[in-house]
Amino acid sequence: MDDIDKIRNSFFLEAEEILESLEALLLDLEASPDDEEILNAVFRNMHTLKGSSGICELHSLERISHLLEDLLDHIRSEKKSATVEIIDTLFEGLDIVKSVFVTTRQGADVDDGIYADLAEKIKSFLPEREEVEEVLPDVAETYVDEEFVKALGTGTKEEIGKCVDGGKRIYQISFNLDPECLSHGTDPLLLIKTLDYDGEVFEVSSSTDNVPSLDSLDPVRLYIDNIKAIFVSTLGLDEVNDIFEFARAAGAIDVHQFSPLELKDFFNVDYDDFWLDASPDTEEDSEKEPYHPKDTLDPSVFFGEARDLLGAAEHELQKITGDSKESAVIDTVYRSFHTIHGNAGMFGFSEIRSVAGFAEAILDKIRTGDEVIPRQTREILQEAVDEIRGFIDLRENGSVYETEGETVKRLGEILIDMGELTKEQLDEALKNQDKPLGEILVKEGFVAEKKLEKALEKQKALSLSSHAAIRVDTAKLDSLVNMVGELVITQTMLTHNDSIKNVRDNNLTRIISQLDKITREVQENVMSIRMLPVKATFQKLIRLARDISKKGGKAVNVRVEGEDTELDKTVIDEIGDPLVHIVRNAIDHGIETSEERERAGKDEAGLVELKAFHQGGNIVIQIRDDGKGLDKDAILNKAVQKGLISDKKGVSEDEIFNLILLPGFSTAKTVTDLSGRGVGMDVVKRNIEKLRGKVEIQSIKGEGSIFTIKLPLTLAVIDGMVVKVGSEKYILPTISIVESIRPEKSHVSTVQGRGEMVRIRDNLYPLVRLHDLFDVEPLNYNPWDAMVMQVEGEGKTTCILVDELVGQQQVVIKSLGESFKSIKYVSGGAIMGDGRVGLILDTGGLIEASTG
Amino acid sequence: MSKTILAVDDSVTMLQTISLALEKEGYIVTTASDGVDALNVLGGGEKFDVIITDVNMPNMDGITLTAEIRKLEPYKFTPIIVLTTESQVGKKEDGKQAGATGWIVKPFKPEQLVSVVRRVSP
Repeated sequence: MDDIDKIRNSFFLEAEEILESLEALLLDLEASPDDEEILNAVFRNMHTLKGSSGICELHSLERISHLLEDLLDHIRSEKKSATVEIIDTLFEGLDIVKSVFVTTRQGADVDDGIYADLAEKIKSFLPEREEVEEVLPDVAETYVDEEFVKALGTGTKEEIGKCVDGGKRIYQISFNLDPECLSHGTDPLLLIKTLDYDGEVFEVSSSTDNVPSLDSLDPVRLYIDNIKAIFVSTLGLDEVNDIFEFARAAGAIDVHQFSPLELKDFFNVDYDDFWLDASPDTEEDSEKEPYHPKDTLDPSVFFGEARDLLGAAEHELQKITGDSKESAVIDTVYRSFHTIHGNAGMFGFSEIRSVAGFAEAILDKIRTGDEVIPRQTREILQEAVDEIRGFIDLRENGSVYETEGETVKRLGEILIDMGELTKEQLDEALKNQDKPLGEILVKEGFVAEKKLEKALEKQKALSLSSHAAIRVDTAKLDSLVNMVGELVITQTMLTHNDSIKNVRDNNLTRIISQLDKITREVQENVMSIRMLPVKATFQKLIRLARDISKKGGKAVNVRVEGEDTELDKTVIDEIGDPLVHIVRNAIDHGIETSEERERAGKDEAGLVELKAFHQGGNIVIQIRDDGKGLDKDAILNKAVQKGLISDKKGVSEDEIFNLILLPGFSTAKTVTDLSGRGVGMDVVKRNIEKLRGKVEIQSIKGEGSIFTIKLPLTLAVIDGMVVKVGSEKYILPTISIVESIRPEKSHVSTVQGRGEMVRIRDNLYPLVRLHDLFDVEPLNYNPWDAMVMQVEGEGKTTCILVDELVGQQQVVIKSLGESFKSIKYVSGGAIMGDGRVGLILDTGGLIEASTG
Repeated sequence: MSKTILAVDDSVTMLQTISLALEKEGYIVTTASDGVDALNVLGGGEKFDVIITDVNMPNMDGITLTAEIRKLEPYKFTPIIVLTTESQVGKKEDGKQAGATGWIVKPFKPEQLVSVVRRVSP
């Protein structure tokens, strides 16, 4: 058993007796209100109760008995008689004490509000005294005794002030203890000595005014009051207060921690001494060994973050078309260089630091100034981005960087123009690229206070959102996607199960449809996890466009729309190359030279537009250029020449344009090394089809071309139309279906040399009989009894004969494996609602079959 | 018991550098990449022995953050160290006014960071 518990147990016994006595005594007092003896007895009992409960740390009990004791003491010392009200109050108080005693004995918490009224009543009997307040639980705000502190000697104050640098805290502790505290074992001298264990007591003052002459001195009474001490320690305020928790029963102990401003006022703490300046660029440091960060820091995070920041800066720089104010843009670029500048220093990458530092200085001047980045400056900043990228690549490979400081020089020249740098300073900086730029600027006091304030204001005005994100292992994600696929299959199987379909139980039906809904949501959510915005891809394309146009001596502007559109990660990875090809072609072959454009009455600079958007369950990426467009005749001629088509006649515009996607095709008169040898476009087509997308081309001679890439939102699941041929089911990708009809008998015909044809509205389309291709026994041989689906691919259209449409379904694609890759007309397998495997039809192959 | 540190900086590189340097010495480091985020963490009840913050951050800069932290009761006297770049000398005065305890100039060596942290919180 705890010591405290032992003490408390004996206290409870003692207290019980006291309470009984008090009850009896109060009744006596009521009968004889002027009896001093009785009054004293009541007082003594209450006093003992207070003291003992204090020792046992039963604070509520202590506080109430203290209140009552005060009242009794007041009557006693003022020699007043106990009025009826007073007696009533005393009885009330005793009742409360009794109830608190019971509660405390049971170990429950006491609600201190229980004696709030009592306290008020007692206060009304007493003259204005602060002592009543000290009994209540809340600690009022502490204050500094200015007289005391100011009276400290200068030397002492200095010493105390110095302690601050060591991270120590300075306290002023005031003791206002009861005169009886000594008889309770609370000795202020001992308390102060205790403090010495946890810190240093610098000065103690007290008032000895009340010390009487020796003959009237009561040895167990404390006559010294107003005790104050300055205490210096590493302990926190709470910890210091804890030291006195027990002693507080004997009176008020105030602990006040000096705030920094108070320290300055009272102890002349000079902030320059107080402030820790750990700037590493002090003289001694530069004499020491050069810093080898490789030993302690891992730069891979730096490389990753720096690349992201450079990409963002570049992206924003490209956005600035005119010489207009673009605060948000400028801020992003500034921030990128600023962060790279700061971080590069940490790793000792001085070459990166120099370039980034100068670029930062330029942008800082701009953003706190007229907020316009002139074209020249923009270009040099872009070069800075490139150079830093190069440095990062080299550093990452552990290579030594080599630079003549060209970029730094040019950046520096801009700074000179801006008046931020003098020629001498620039020379110094170039000579010694290890010296931080900031130091050079700062030395001359270039960075003005006002500018910083303005910059601060701007920062507050611009808010940039931050996303909380976590990194996920792609393997885990793939596994999750797979699992979700299985879930979708199983759930579909459930929905299509015959027993389930025939269920008449409404509840069950509701549950199943709920499951369906949830599964769909899970699927959408999981798919969206793999979705990334095309922004990064577009950024690369913008860069590419710029590079190509520069090399080719053409002026090209790139415009981007919908960069936040999201695509599945795999699609983004695969779509990069095809897009690069298309953009290259657009600039190389599409956009004319400035003179040609001027002659044609166009803007001097060509325009390449990249757009990404959602359309009907697909993602569409469009690349448009306002160049000279595709030359249909040239294409036709080339096609014939290459033996790709036999006849120039009767080829639709769409089909002509699609010819350029065929292998072995190239209309480039001169093969530039950038576009390759015409292997570009067919690879593009193949890559896009691998993603189950399609390419569409539109072009108007003299005006430009539009390449449209349509991609499904996900690779694992396909939106398909299930069709039935005989007893077999097949799946047609919905994306390729134009329409489905049951033709009139009169609309079906056989054309010599072309085979069967179907007329839909004004056009004739070849008819492909699926049952023929797959050697299946159909239900209907006659198209007018069955269904005809018009499908399209690569600008060509054909019609397919099936027995019936079963319905649209989202099916999970399952690869059939290597051995099945070469099967014609089939692009893959899928698990359908009934759990069986269905074959996904390859529209392209079917169309080929029709043209025979 | 280990001392706890809150590090605030908009650069992941800096946060990682600070964390590694201090964790090696036995400190427990919590990070925030935004001033507003940091205030949320501080308001969440976790107590920190030292707060380190970058000065130049978007959304809420380090000086404003320091002033805001000083308004919070439990953090009236918690040592706050601000990180600045040498080109922002003026921040020193602002920092003092806002109630910061000390400053370190970027770039710094990990050992220097540790020694400063030790000085403000022995």
